[in-house]
Amino acid sequence: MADGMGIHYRNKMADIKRLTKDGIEFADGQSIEAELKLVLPDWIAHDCLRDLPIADSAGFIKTDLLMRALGHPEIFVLGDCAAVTVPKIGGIGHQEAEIVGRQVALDMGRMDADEANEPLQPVVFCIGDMGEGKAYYVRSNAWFGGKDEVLKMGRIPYQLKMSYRNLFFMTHSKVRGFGLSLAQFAALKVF
Amino acid sequence: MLVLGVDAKTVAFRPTERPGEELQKLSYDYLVLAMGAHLAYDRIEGFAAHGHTVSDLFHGQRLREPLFEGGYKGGPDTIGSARFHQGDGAEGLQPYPGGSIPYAKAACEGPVREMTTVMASYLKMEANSSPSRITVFTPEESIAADAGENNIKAS
Ligand SMILES: Cc1cc2nc3c(=O)[nH]c(=O)nc-3n(C[C@H](O)[C@H](O)[C@H](O)COP(=O)(O)OP(=O)(O)OC[C@H]3O[C@@H](n4cnc5c(N)ncnc54)[C@H](O)[C@@H]3O)c2cc1C
Repeated sequence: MADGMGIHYRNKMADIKRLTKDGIEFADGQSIEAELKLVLPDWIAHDCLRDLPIADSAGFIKTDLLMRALGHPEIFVLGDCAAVTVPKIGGIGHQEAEIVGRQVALDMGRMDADEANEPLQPVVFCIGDMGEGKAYYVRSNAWFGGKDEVLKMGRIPYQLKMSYRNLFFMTHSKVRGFGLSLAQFAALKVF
Repeated sequence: MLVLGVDAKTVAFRPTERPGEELQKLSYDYLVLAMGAHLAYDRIEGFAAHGHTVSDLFHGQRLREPLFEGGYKGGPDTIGSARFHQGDGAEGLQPYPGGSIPYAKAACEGPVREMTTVMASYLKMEANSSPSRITVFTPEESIAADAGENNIKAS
């Protein structure tokens, strides 16, 4: 996509060393000249979590695939602070939150083990604006060993993106799970 | 929350409605940790003076200023992720048969992909410039590593 648009592309880049008025300098001596430097940073663990006995070597919390902290089944962990959440995306945090809900129901005697003990199978789910009324839709679990790899681009993914945005504001950011299922249905069955 | 005692099953926290509030303690039977992560812009030298991002309203507004209120000269521009330093906490987990939780070199590249496509369109449609003014960079082998190899090829 980047190639087709003429966008330049640099991969396997080292740590960012510094930003200057003229661009970005990297730790291995490479640099990129730029007027606008649009950057996403390193995601690091919060100070109050990093030295806990349940934290990993970078301070993220270790869990099993039912989102219980290792050695402390009474602690549930979900979202970006969990070590298992890779990449750090909200879609996976959402999948983990549903698991936590089922585990709590299990412990409260409100759900049986068969239904509750469905472990995390992360799926990368992303709908990105491309401008000009178009968007891309990605749903894939291939990075984790699964078999799904879906990519759609065009005007319908853009409509999905806008619907998600409307749902986000309508639900005060508490988007229900059916939003993702609906997007999946529309992306796979309707176009 | 400021302190978590996993063995004592307590959390110490400070109410945040007004500055100066006292430390409170709670004990728990169950705890759900959902505190997100620290997005470490504060560790990028020169970011405050020279960097832009879209993680929150403050920075979104700050990016609008040169683009919509004047000052932007049309590039060149660069978009990318700093390196993510993942810990070892997902080692050995097998979410799919034969699979694993990979080591990512970028924490979250969705925004990079999206900023790139939107910026390309903006340059073409609004700024009388060209997507070729953009350099996108990634610490990964490929920018959409998490989207799967076939999707990378298809895009
Ligand atoms: C620019 C950008 C675009 C993104 N786009 C996407 C996307 O398209 N799709 C996607 O799936 N993901 C996306 N993500 C990632 C997504 O935003 C995160 O993965 C998600 O928000 C993480 O959710 P969380 O609940 O774990 O943490 P957060 O949303 O960070 O919430 C954590 C909460 O805990 C609170 N907190 C922190 N420390 C403490 C403390 N000590 N005591 C009490 N409270 C505390 C915080 O104030 C916050 O309210 C994007 C991220 C960025 C930066």
